[in-house]
Amino acid sequence: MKKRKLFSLVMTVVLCAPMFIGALPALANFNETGYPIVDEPITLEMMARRSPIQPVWDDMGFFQEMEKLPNIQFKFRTAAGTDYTQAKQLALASMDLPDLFYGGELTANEEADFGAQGILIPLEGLIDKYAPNFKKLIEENPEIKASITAPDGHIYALPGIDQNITSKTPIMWLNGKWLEALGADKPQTMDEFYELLKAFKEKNPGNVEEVIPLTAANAAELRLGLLANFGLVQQDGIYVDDNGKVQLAWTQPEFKEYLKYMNRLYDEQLLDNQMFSHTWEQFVAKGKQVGVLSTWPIVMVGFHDVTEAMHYPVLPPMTSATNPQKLTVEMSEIKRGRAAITSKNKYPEATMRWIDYAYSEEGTILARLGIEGKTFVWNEDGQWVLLADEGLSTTQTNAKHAPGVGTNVPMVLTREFFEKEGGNPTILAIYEWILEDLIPYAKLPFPLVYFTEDEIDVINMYKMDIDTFFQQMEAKFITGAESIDGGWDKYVKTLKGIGLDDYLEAHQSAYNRWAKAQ
Amino acid sequence: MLIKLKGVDYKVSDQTMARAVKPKRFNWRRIKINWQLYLLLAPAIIYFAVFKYYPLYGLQIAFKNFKASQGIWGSQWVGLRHFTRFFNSYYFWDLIRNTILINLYGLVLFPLSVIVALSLNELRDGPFKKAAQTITYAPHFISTVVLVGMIIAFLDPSKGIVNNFLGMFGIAPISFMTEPRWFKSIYVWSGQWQNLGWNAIIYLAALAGVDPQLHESAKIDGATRLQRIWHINIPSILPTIVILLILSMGSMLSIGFEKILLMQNPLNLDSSQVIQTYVYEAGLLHGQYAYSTAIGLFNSVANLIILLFFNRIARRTGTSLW
Amino acid sequence: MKTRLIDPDKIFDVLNKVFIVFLVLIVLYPLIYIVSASVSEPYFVNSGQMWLLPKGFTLEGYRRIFQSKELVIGYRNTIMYTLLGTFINLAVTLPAAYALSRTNLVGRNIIMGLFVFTMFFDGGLIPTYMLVRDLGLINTIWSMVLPAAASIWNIIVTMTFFRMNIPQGLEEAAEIDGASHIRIFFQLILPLSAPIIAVMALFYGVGHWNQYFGALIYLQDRALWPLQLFLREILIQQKMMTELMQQRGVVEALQEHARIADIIKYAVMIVSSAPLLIVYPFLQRFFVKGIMIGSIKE
Repeated sequence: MKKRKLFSLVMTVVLCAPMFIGALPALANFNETGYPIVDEPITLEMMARRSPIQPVWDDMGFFQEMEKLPNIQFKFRTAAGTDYTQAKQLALASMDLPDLFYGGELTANEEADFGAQGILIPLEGLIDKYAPNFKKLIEENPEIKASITAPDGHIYALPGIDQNITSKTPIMWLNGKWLEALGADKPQTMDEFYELLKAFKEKNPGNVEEVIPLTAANAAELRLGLLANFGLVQQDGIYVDDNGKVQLAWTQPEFKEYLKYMNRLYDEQLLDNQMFSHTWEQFVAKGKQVGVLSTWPIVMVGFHDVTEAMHYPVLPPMTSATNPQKLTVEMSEIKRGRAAITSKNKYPEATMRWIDYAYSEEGTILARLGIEGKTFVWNEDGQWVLLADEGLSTTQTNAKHAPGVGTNVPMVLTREFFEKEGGNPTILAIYEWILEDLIPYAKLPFPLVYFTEDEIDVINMYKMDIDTFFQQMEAKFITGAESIDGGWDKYVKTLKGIGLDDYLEAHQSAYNRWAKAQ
Repeated sequence: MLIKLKGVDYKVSDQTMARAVKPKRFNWRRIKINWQLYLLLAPAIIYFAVFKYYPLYGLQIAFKNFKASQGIWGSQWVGLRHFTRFFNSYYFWDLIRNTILINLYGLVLFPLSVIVALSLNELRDGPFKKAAQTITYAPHFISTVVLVGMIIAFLDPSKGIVNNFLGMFGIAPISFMTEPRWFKSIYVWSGQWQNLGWNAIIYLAALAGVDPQLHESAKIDGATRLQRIWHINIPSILPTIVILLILSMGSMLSIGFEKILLMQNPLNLDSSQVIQTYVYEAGLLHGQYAYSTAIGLFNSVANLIILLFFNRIARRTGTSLW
Repeated sequence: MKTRLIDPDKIFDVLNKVFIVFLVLIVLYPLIYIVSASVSEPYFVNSGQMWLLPKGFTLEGYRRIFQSKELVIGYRNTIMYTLLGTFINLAVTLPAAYALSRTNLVGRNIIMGLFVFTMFFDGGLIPTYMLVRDLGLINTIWSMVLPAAASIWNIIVTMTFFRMNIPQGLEEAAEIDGASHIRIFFQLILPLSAPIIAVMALFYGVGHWNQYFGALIYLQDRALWPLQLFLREILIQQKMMTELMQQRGVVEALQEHARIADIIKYAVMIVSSAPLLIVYPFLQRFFVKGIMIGSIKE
């Protein structure tokens, strides 16, 4: 009898034990301060957009370091370019979630939409308790908090701060050696720009096999660099005009002028005819043949000696028939949507602590510069100097261990940080160029707003079709497959037919809300 | 037929057997005898129930404003909103046009398989015939990825064999894959290259069933080969041809999707975007689950209607699917 | 029997043979081309100088393939999916087809009808995707073998085979001896079904070997990718193998890549197609018969 009772008691305990073990909250494994962050190692799945120049993240020094001390292992789900956009879409829309997004490129709409659905968890509570670095950051800069808080009052994603001058505006570069060989000045108007491209092609100052005066990785990159010159400063097609009214750039007469100009360039082979079909790798391989580059020269031309960059001045904003003043797009310092925690995550507190490290100075350095001794060193003047591995450029080497090169991970990149770069007078010179040529003309097209759930529904319904259609037509107009004069009216009419008015209305109400709060 | 029931032998006529199979009378005895057959059927039934019938339940999101966090049940009804959006979209007619044209184009070429079968059939049995047959269906075993890879490689404007060949005649290189007007032809003809031989097998099999007596008598009457083919062979396999034709009608609005997906690029979309590839794009690439399901549903229903329609026509000629 | 100076039948014969030869050449040429291209220097291939037989013989393409970790993984995965998948296919199809071939099966027509219906109408891409996700199969090998566990077309063909070749009376006779249907199936039927098993194994096997779309949407982990998915990257998206990317500076790597990509792409086509192309001639006598039976049923 007794044995039986004992037996059933033991069985009860044994059977109930899993209940208790499972109930052992993640918090028991968690340390609020100090390292390691968790006593028992845990594994989190991270989703991120990596860049083609990076190795797999398992091999990156940043993660190897960031796994050791905190005692957290990571499983990586990464993809590059549009593959990532699709993967992210899929993950969010199908609830096949990672534990966190880090360098996740979440749009404001995704934040608000999926935050409201509970797929991304609210972070303000966690920030308050477990993110001392980030908390300090927003206390010192209250406008950050306002910019990352969704309409329902919650914060769903953490931003990065990038005060780097080179991140403030789009930049295109000129092949300086060619410019010199021609004895030409930097163009100030679109007409001069056209003449310059023509001269590149006809005179072949670089003596290359085939001159490609102008190219870009894709049409979007081209647009980013040059549309502003026609008077349109927009972000994702949206901008606010001088009357406070929200407009779509793609139906404006200035856009028509842009298309006409590009079509002319395309026709005359001044614009790379393969721009719409080449892969990123094919694009980069053309580096040495290009007169005007849309990506950092070091990536496209691949020089090992950083000072080579001095030969690539930046392309200044230019005026045109539709645009008497020099303009370029200003991009906010606050880069939203870099890190978020999903509802699948069982260790949000530990995750927040882990993420928070990036907002400290050491954390940012680790994320952006990599490993001391391997990718950078401090010199006697307290500056940081990038190293270059055998046969590789500094950017290439840097990318091996620092995810911040190529991916927008959470970082606080202040002006001071960049001024501390040593051993690279070239980049300081480039900063000067940008300060002089581009910054004064930068204009913010649309503020950092958030949309309500209803507005997001409307936007989701139309954005895909609007974007797809306008991109398709843009390609056709520029390549000449469709005549601009003949097809423009029909094009605008079709866009209007895709619910353009509702689409703009949604943006307008969000903008009005933001304007009132100022 | 001898049936064993409870240890007693019963002689049952075929008619009784046939009646017994009809579900009207629920015959428990039959079922008991049959339970083992059902066991054998079980994996298949489970498979079809889970992977084919359960998703039909998911079809309802075509009528809802689907949000992942609310699930299929919790998302709210919006009726025909997705369908209206699709029908009113600027690309609706383009998709329909492309889908139907590609299909028709392929359909028009189906006689080629028949011709090949008829032709092979006329060869005398022997190594030549065997070798020819074997070779003609080799391409069927090549994967779609490799096939499209071959297409892209052969048609490359600067490195492909086709343009090199054209260049010998002084013709400027044509960028086949990026010009919309070539897409359908490339798609259809490469499909023929791949499947001509394989499709011919069915016709060959049907031809094997043609009564040789018919041919003997025709020969005696002095009919030439061609006449014999025309008057004997073709009519004999006509039912088979009709069946296969109907079957391909049935898939008219959802053909070759995987191959098209691989052949698509931003520049030929005008000609290459069909309904099914758009479903994939809207659904899996842009995360618009409900909308793309609605389009897919439209597609399936349209398919079914076309199938029924053609089956009815075929019935008039004597052969039909059911 | 009329005799003519010019026998139309003989002319027909000749023309027919010419037509067949023409057909065979059209089918063969691309195949021979890619075999030759896979062992030729890209320069000759790209310039058109190599058009039939190899020029500038080199095995570098194949060498690189065997050195590529990812392609080897892909190959391994493909073999695994094919074996596992085909086994499951047979395990589902054969018993079901047999059961359906027995006229004394209650509800046979209903079940048949339900199965056939799915040929014409199904849930579609998204609902099926959501199902696979809900079953927790995303990113597992099961997503490769379960959603395609059976094809109604193959079931029909197999069922016809059983109906034609295994008389209904056979089981009755065995049953009288006390054997159960299941035992009959395994010990009697299966051994008799070698031809149809071979055919089905081939059909399903080919399907698994060549498929890419299921992998594309269900597998995120590159370590699980089948060969076809890597091929898609190389042949269609013309992406460079990322491994080589990290060994050199970007630009130099890319230029070297363009050259290598040209060589490996043909070798890669061969490597993935060769197994099937070698195997099928041996099995063809089976499937010609198999399809014949299926078609006659229709």
